[in-house]
Amino acid sequence: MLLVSIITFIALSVIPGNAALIALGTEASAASLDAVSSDLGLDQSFSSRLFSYYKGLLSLDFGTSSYFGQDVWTLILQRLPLTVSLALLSLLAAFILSMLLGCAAAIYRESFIDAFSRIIVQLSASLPSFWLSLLLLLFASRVLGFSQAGSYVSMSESIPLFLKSISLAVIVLAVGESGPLLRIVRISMIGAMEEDWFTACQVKGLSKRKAVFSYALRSALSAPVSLMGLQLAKLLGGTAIVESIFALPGLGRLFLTAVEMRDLNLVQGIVIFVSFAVVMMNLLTDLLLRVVINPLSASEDRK
Amino acid sequence: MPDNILTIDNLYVEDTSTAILAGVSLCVRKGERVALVGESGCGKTMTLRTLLHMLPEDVRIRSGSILFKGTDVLSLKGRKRRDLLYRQLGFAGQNTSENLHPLLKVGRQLTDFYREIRKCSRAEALERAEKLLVSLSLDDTSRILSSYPGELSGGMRQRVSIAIALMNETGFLIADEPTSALDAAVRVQIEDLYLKIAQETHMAMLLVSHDLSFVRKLADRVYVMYAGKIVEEGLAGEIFSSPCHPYTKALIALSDIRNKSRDEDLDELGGYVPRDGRDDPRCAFLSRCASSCAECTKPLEYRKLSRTHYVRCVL
Amino acid sequence: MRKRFSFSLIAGIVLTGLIVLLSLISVFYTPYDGEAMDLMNRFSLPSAEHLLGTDHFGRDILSRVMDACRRALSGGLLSVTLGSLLGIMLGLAASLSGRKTRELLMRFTDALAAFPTILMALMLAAALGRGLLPSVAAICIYMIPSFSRLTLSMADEARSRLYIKAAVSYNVPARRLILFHLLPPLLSRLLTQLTSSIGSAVLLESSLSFLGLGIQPPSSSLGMMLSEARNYILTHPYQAVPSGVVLMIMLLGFNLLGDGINNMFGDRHA
Repeated sequence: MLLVSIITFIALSVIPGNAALIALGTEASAASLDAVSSDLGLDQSFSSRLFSYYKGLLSLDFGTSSYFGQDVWTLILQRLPLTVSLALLSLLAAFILSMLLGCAAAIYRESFIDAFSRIIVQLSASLPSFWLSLLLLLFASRVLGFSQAGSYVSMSESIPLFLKSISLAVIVLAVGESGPLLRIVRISMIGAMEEDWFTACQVKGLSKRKAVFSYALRSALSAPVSLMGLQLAKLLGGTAIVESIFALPGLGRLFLTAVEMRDLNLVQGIVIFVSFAVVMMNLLTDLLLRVVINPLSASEDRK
Repeated sequence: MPDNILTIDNLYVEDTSTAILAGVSLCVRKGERVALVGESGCGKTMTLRTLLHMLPEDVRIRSGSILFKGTDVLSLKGRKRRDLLYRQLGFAGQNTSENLHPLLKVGRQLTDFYREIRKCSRAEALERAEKLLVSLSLDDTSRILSSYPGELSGGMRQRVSIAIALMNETGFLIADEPTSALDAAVRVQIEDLYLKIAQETHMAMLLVSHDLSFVRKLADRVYVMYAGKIVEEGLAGEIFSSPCHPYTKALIALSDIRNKSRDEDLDELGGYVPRDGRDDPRCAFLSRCASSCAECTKPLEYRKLSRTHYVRCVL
Repeated sequence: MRKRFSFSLIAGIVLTGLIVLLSLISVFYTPYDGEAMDLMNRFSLPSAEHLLGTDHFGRDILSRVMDACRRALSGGLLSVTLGSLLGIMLGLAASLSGRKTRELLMRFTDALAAFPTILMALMLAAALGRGLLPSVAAICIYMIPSFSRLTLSMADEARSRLYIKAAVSYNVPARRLILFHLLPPLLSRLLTQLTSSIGSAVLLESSLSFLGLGIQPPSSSLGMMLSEARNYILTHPYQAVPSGVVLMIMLLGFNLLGDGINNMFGDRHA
């Protein structure tokens, strides 16, 4: 597994090697191309460029952003807390919702709750996040009376205000993430409840509640957890749209700006950073699954 | 009959296309060890599953009743079923690797329901479990209690299953194929274990098995089942010394193979248990029967041979 | 329990049918020219004259939505077709080739798949420039891993079946083997995947154009219309309704259709 992650990382890191093209875009004239190239040291050979870039990476030196005129690493660190809290909060909300609803849907199969959970799954897959954002924005300003855009308060200033300013974005992201999560919780709970040991543990005389919550849930947990690992990783880079709508200065928005401004170093830096985070998340999820959720899989692998 | 623990009366069970059980009646009295025997697919396990409410999705009960300690358990639901049925019997399942949760430690699975019923502490429950495992001739109990089912051998898991069934001291043990899927050495151990339990506790048992040599050692009374019907019932002595139904005879002959030398002539039983037409009142065994006659195509009565011995055959 | 024609299937067919119809009509006829401005008549609500009202330039929203539908649909279909073809080919190639090539191909798709979708699409769109074709290309690349993985796992499963082994032992040529033995049993699963992929392709395309990286003005696209509506959301909230609803119907339609097809082929769990 570790090997896979390393290879993944390397493969991903090769992509930004082409970033010169990204930075310039297709419309750039030959003259400006030359200028920017020498500016960035692109007139050197590809391999030497790559080498010096990776040498910088090892010491966390991602280069300087041409648009912001700041160190890329500093920029990323500045924007990171917001995106991370967005991702974590929305995933937490999605997790709670999916667990409650998914378990309920599995226990009371073919009931009102089950139908409701299916509707949620469909809606979550079909509501474009940006449209939902617009609707929420409208709702918040018309009904709740607080205007969202441009009122971002950073975490260090005031935590309640910070939470308030990101709440709508969290809702939008949570809706998007809860669909697949809910679906998988429901399916794996139903799968667990069809197992022999589930009936067997009730025949022992165990109450249904305990049978569901300690037996079925125990074995149904691993699929949602691994999905959540993936979702968290995707959210780290996938909050761009929501961040831009709610005017939240996070990593995604930074990336958007970088793309729009053809800021080579910044694009490259964020890509590498996010891919690294993705790999780390996968490793962490794997570790969590092995150690906490399913301590047996390790010994099974050995066999 | 107040001393009946379990009375199954004329039970019909069917799936979407055909009947599976066609009028099964049997009873288990207090302290009595009853065996239900027959080939795979004859409906033994389905009878148990009906009793324990573990029927597959598309299978349903058409008619009949099951009285357990005086209550009709088929009509029970949820909490009542748990309190009146599950908590008053012990069940040792057939396939131990699927009846134990793979991700929970044995100790927990052995004690959680006991703690819930007795409302006792974890330590007390573990102590009881440990004693029980020792009495089931397992040593190294603390290691077993803290391991996962997958880390135990088949024989150990079988013992753990038995321990689960015995934890509550219900006085009634149901065991589904207790000796199948075990290698010969372990099988002997488990057989001895059941004999030991029988001697020491005098608890009532309902054994579902196709292992007749085991049944002969353990059971007081035997029901022989074929194609969803009881074809013969009687005291173990009667069944084994003077079997009446040709199917019983064939089963006993086959189980004796092991004790005979190979070159003796065998009455082999060709073919399979029929799936369809189980609610036909005529003899279902006819197509495989070696001693059929003209009478055999008529509807059958359940004939009384003695006070305890009944048979569903014209012979 | 499982009905052959489930509710999802029917609802999916109806909704996608509606969208397809709308797009087809737009080829021949739209009530107005979707790009013609009428500055005297801005932000009008639905009326007999303009069935869905007009936008901030006084353009007829119905006509724009119809045009946008067609673009979204054709963009989605195009990118999914290309992406799935490439993905399937890659998967089959990996399945039939030796260990090393296979590892290499799969690592490559793993790397593609591990990356956040939007980020990848943004990067690709940025590298390839703006407009419909680059975003189609971006989505197409995004589609490749899921298809190649699916094909690989299913082809592997099929290969372990006896009839394939038998065919191999008769020396059936590779091309024949792929076309007549490996692919047919995979088709039902691929069809399911294909349908739901169109949904995500449409979503991705509209996300890109929402961010200004997809189809460029003055042509209309659902994402762009929403992005324009965003500027007037507080003053003229109606602007966000038609394009949003149509986009949702489109996504809902394809998702339900995918589910329905999945059920129809008797796959586990809805």
